[in-house]
Amino acid sequence: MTRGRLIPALLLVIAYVLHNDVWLRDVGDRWFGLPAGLAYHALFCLLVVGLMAVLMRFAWPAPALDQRPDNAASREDA
Amino acid sequence: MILAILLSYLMLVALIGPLSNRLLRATGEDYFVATRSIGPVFLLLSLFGTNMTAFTILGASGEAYRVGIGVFALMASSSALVIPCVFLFIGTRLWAVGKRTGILTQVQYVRRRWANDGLGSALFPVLVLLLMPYLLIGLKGGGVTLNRITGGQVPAWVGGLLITMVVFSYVSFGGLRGTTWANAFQTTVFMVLGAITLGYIVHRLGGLGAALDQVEAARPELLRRTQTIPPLKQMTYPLVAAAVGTFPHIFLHWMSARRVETFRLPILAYPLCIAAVWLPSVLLGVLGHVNFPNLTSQEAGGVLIRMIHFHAPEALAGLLGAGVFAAVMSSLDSQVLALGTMFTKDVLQHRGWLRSTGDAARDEQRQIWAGRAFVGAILLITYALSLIVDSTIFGLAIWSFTGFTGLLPILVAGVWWRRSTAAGVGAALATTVTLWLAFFLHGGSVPGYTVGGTGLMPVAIVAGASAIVLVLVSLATRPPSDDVLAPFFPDAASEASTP
Repeated sequence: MTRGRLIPALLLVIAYVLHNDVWLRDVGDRWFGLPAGLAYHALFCLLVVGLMAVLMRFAWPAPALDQRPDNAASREDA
Repeated sequence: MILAILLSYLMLVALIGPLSNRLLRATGEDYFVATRSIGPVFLLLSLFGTNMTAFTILGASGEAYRVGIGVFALMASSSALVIPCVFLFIGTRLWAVGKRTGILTQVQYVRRRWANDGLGSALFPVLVLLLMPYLLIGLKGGGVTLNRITGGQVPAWVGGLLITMVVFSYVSFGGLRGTTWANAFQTTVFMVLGAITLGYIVHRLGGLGAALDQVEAARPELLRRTQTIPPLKQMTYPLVAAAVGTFPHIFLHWMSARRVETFRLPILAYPLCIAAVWLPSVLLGVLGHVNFPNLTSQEAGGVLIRMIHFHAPEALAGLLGAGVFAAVMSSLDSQVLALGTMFTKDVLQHRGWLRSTGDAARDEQRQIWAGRAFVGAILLITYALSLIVDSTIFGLAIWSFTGFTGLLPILVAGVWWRRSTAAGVGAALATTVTLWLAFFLHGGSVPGYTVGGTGLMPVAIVAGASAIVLVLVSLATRPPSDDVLAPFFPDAASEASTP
């Protein structure tokens, strides 16, 4: 597997593991005024923003896909 | 007062259709995908607004009332992870294919990707049937909203009827551009009003800490997940969110993007939008126990409206009710437009029932009118069904999502696996339909159903079996030819043709 595919795959596995926060299931504390289980997943949403920024660097479609002339326009021009 | 505000809001939204109609270029492509001209902000707001339904606003708070904060982990943070990934790994690729080939719908994509007409014909009714419960969620949610927020003075059928009429007006006039404008406006409305609602009600309850203390004293399990959410359920629930990858209305919004770069903002900002809407929804559902401690499971679906009605002054209650209407309509519009597009393109046009008149402009107009007629018909049928179907809002959504996720391996294979074959896709489709029906007949009437009560969501089995069957049957059948693959994998095709 190439580095460009390995890193996104690893990051996704880590994110999935972090999402399954079994270690917080019975915690009744409050974080930032919210129940811990809720605050954790709100923070997880923020983490995903960073994850997506990284994934976009590794898995963005090849520029050629965006820049090819579309068939319909080509036909009209013709 | 409340009714006056809600009606004013509905009239305002109804005006968006005629306004956007002034930009309509009278072509089928403009009506159905706004000539692929939508920018990043509108794409984000329309994708997000389309996904946020009564399921989110009413269903999530109702479910949080029943099982507590774990609902956020189940649906919100899993959506925050899965949906942007679907946009990135599937949406951008499908957009590029649509741009190159002129494809507008999933049925067109399946027909051409695997060069098999029957596959598309088989997929169309499956998509319609799976989308119907999702449409029902919107109309039932609208009815519940109006009924609750007016203290039962206005019957639920009136709310559903009003929503039907308003959605028809702006979808019919404005096509996808009108729908996108309405979505952007309404998404902003319900995000802002959701935050105001939470702030106002929490203030009335004496602050968040004090309100949570009251819940903790009466129902401590709602602020944890030990008893209410089995681990296996949390592990498999993200698959439900993956359904977004096969929603026909999301596909249509993807096709409307101006450039592939347009996707960057939706991919990055989607998790933040999720948190901004779900946190108030879930918290208000849990805090419902402070004022309404003994609601039945059926009544819990309306707990948010009860809270608004109980705490907010009439003017604010009217605005907040409008926020719920906004969420409902911003989904319903895209869904019916997607069905109208599929019917026009994949049935009428494909079957030759919309024959060319020899006048291109007239042909385009006929396409638009066909789309409008089908939008109207779908709305009427859905409205009629909403009057007779009785189920909890949340339950309906889960089953709809389960079926859609079962179809996801088909799109994933289409984008990422050249070796996939028409036979494999057909087998995956048949497997999804069969297993979905089996599970629905077995557990459709059981709230919170999981396989054998283990916590395993049926979606895991449906999607897993669909993927396995697709792979095995594809490997056992002849691979598609390079000619068929070339428009979908242009880089590979050009490499292959290079000496």
